[in-house]
Amino acid sequence: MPPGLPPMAGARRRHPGHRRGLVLVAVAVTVLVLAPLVFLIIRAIEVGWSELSSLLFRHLTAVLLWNTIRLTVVVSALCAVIGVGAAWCIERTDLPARRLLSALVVLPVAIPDFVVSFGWVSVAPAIHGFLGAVLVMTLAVYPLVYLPVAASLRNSDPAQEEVARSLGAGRWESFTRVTLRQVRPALLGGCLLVALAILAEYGAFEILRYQTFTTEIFTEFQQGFNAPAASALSLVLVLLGLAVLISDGFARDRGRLARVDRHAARAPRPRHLGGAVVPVSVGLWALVGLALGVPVGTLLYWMLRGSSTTLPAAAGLLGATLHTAGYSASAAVVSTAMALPVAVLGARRPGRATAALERANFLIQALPGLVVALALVFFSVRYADFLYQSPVLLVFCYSVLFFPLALVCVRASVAQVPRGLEDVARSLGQGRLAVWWRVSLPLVAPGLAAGACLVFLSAVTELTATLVLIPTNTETLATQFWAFTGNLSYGAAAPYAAVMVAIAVGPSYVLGRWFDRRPTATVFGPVGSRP
Amino acid sequence: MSRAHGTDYGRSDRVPALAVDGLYKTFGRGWVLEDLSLEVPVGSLTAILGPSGSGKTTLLRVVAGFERADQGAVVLSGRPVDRRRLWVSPEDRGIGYVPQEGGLFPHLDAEDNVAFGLRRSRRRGRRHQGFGGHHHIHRHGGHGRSLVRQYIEMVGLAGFEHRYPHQLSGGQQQRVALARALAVEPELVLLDEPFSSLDVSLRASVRDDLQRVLRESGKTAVLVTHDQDEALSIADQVAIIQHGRIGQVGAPAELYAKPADPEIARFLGAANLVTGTLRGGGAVTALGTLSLRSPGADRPVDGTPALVLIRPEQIEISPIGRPTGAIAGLAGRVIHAEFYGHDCVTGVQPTEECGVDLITVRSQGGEAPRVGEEVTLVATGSTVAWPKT
Repeated sequence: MPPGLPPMAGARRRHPGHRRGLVLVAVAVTVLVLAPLVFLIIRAIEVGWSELSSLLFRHLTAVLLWNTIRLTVVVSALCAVIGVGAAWCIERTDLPARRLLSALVVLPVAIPDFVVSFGWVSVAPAIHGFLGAVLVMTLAVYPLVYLPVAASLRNSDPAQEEVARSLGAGRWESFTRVTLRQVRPALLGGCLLVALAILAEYGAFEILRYQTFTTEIFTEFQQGFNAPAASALSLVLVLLGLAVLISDGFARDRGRLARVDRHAARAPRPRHLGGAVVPVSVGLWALVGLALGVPVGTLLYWMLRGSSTTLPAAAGLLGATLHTAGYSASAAVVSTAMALPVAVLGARRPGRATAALERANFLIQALPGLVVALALVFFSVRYADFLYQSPVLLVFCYSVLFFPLALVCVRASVAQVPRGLEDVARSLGQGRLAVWWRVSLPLVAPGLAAGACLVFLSAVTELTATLVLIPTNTETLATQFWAFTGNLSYGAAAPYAAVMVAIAVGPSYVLGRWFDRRPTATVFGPVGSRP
Repeated sequence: MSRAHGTDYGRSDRVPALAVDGLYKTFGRGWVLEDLSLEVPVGSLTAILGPSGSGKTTLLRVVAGFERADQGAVVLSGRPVDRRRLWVSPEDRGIGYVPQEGGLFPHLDAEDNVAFGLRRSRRRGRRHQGFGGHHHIHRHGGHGRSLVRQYIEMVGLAGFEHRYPHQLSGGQQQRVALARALAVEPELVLLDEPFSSLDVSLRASVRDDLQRVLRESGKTAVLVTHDQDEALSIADQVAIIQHGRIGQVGAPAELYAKPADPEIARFLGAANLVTGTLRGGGAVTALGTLSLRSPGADRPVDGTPALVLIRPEQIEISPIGRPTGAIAGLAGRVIHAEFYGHDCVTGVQPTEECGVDLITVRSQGGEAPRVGEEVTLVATGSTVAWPKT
């Protein structure tokens, strides 16, 4: 080496500090997210085993368990059938008006379950109990299966089906042995969301007079303020959620798919439906009518019929809308900001420790909103009285509750910014910050937006935790709607639900687009074989 | 730091564009780079050739500054950028980098991709390197955008300025990536397997363009590849990387003719390594006697057993019985024969012991021998041999 030459300008020691900082922030976020679980456990320990066991081992628990489990299983199965069937017909056949249907079929995701439930009960008061709950929940949550399965069908390689046919498999056989295999991860993911939604649902079942763990916990909390009983039941509910999460992870591990190069995939040629077009069309339009038409129709009906009774509420409507939008937007920002460091760490420094850290954050999925809210009530009453019934606690609750949604979106988009791109940008003379601003952020932005939309949408339509944590003398759209339906003032309640749905539709649209475009965003392909 | 393994490329008095000295790098399990040294003369196109896992991409990434060497030094045009505690970040090294798949920014069109590094480099006033040929682009000549256009034209993509990466073919993406790397007027361009993601049909044309553009711009370039044809045909200097260090460096023809060891000989193309004995500046084998290209000062004693390299094109194949004009060669039977039009490749199983079970022969034109035919093989020309120990 030629000695004596001065080092180049800009020479300096590299500071690995920024990486350690990232780890610290990610760990701090995880601790925050898992705090409600910790509070729940602390509470349970305080109550003590003898009291817990006397509260748990009684007839009521068995009834609740039976009610909750049978509903979860039946609705998940129905959603799987409807979701896959609808997705396949819309994505893979020459069904008329497919584009319109694909938009309408997704829309029920923007309607809160308790509004769907309200719609059905106000039309047909006879609907209640187990069958009513099956009907209402299936219609309310099947898009959670439809959305990922449709996206997966759109991106899977149709050549595989053709190969299956050429190998002698019939239509049905190639569907079950190839197509279903391709969408299996998406289907499992969707069913997981459905099961967790049912475990967490309160409003819809309250209206339908169907008793599950969540409704019972709420009753115990609200009426008797029976904290030990509520925490005992919460424990069972969380264990049920964990069981769902674990079984999903187990099923997923067994069905691993080799990734196929997306650039090679052609657009699939739509299957000709022939004579089946009539029953399929009737079926899908009936689905849209029941899932979308009934709740929207009843809302419109009550608004028109009860216009006189809603007028005095107009001022309240504006206030509630502002509160809802404010809390939800804050939660969207906080949640997405919290997701970013965890996602970046997971994508950039893959390893067992970071994978475990990432996965830990998804544990919160097993905690229904009600349980998280009660844990936070316990925490604030005990340790931080000034936070109790403050907007901060409500926004924090939303942020933690919907953190996994934000993390999924942000993680997916961070994973699509290959390390190589940042390297190239730096070799082109851009500093670390410039690279982040000019390359990473533009590429991650759609994922951040999608994550924020998803959190916003979920927070707008959240009822249970909001009822528990709502700041004093404040109303949101959901709580006001709930108060009016409690009085059977359907006409007064309807506008609140309508505004809620209207606010939620925008983000749903953005989200649908995101599911559409996600897999084609990268041109970089797999990062090559690096020794 | 020791220069024991330093390559002696002292023909030029000029400071090399890149000097790597005693480089070590590990990712936890064994050394990926182990005491690697290399010099790249200014204006050359150097190919780093090695099988996958030999550490070539890691070397490139250390030079670019994406990884930091555990030990050793990286010196660019005489200025150390990675040595002991000193480390220059990639954005300050003045290096153009073209990753394996091009690595275009998917959210920018071709023009914006090429312009990406421009503003900063102009502001910093990076030294302008001699820019020969028709494309005489000066740092102060012309507006930024027109500069970008000139580079896009130079790689033959005029009219594609506003295409996004996903609207470009693999070859076009590679060209844009090259234009982007050159636009910041780097002192050194690094290319990581630039053709590996392309179809075979595209490879040749992109390769020719790359060579032309690099020559025209007068840039020093280092290209990493595992394809020996590619390395031999495109580079002025080929460095063979083996097990994390440089096995041999030299001009392509020199390397092909005088590989340093049997492993390199095999890696650089089909090689028949037959047994023989050294005698009087030549190697005596079953296929005939060949002269040695580099007898060297320490000529071994006559009669030393040796491993003799015979390239397939050095062997003449003839049906048994027909006179070949030389001493009787090695008899054998044809095991396989492939006819390629311009030449044919024949695999012959020798009937007598010569150190290998199958001898590969490349003969020009004519007809391919039939499988099963009895033939005679005679080798001519000069070669290299390694005494057996």
